[in-house]
Amino acid sequence: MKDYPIEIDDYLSGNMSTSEKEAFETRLLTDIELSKELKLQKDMQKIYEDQKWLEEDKEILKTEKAVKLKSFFESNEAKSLKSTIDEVISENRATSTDKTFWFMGIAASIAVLITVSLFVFKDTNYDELYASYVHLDEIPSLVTRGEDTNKMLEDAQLLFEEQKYQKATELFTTYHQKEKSIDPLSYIYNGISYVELNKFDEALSQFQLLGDSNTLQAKKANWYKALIYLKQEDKNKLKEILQIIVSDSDNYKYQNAKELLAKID
Amino acid sequence: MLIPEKDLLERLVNGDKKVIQDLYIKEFPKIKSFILNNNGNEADSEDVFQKALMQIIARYKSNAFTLKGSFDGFLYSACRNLWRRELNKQKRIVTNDEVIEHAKEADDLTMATLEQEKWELFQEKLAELSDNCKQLLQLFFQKVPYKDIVVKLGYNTDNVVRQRIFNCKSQLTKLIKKDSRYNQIKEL
Repeated sequence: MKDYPIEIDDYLSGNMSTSEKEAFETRLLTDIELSKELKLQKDMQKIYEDQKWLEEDKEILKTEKAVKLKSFFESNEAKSLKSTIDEVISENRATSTDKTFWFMGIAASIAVLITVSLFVFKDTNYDELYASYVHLDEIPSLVTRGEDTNKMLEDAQLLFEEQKYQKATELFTTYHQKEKSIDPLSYIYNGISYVELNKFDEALSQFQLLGDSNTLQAKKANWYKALIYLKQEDKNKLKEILQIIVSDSDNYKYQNAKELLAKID
Repeated sequence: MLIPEKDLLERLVNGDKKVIQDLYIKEFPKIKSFILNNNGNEADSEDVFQKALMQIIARYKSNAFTLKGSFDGFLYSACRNLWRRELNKQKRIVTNDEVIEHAKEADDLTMATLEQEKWELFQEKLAELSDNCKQLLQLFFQKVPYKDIVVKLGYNTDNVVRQRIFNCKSQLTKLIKKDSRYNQIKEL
């Protein structure tokens, strides 16, 4: 019952001598069948190990199936389905009755209080608005349970939590210079640290890097830039970026941006 | 849910708001709690929920299928894997002087869909093996050394274990290769 060459197991588990390994790798260069078998066994290892996610090579986009899927994702039909789903999410979000309800209740009452105080003083208090929107608790932790966390990041997050922002930015900067693979959340932490130090240009550049990163976190960049302008009390720039956020209900913090826009006007 | 499962897919694909709403109310809390427990926040969970539904719709559009198991399990596994994929991606982005390539969204959604299909196919085939094979392979893929497997499962020698694992893995390889879906999702 040989359905793949057993030497692949020896190769993958490192049970080959140097010369065997070299010979095997030389064969791989010319033997297409063998390299396909190797790819399958590697895929099996990744999927069944259940630790890593198997990310395919971009080559797979050339398959017939991929072309079909992609043309659907790019269609107007997909666009309209996506907005229907988003609509359902945003319509139902407010009425959900799980435990975040209480937090939202508290946040809402703070918002009401701030709004009230705005009316009383007839002057927009940007500092208070910043404090009510920054929500540090929403930033995911840099420390991942059960995985190797970079020691520098761990320490930097600790400094951040202790509000030692100067030291935190120094460590984040070292991390960004030394590491090749950067956790995008570190830009958020570093950016907010700079805001706390009133170094707004540095803060902006962190969120620029976040926005340019090809990750799920990138979509958060505009919102954080808005928070910087809020803290800086730069009303024009704040309005400009909030307008961008509210131009598409898919954008991160769309609702908050709408609210904030109404408050500063 | 009052909507029968066989109609559910079709109605979802047609953008039936009622179906999406029911799914949101019934399934989203589970998905959200998984993501919140795994380094994500509420916005991430909404994003994943939306992408998973789009993925299911796209798959149905490109090749209408009937579900073998329950819809909620199907959706949950799609969400769970999308989030694992995202965490994986976050770990290895590169900055500094290197230019970051902006993968087009459609490309990324397509890759995620194909990866999910491969994952499902592999899980399904593993489930077809004998319990003994499943147990052996589970240990093997978790990189437990042969000598520990010998002790754990009461075999005689390393070599017996090695041979047994090779047989099981051969069966599994054969099952995967035989499936027509495998040929559609493997690289050219």
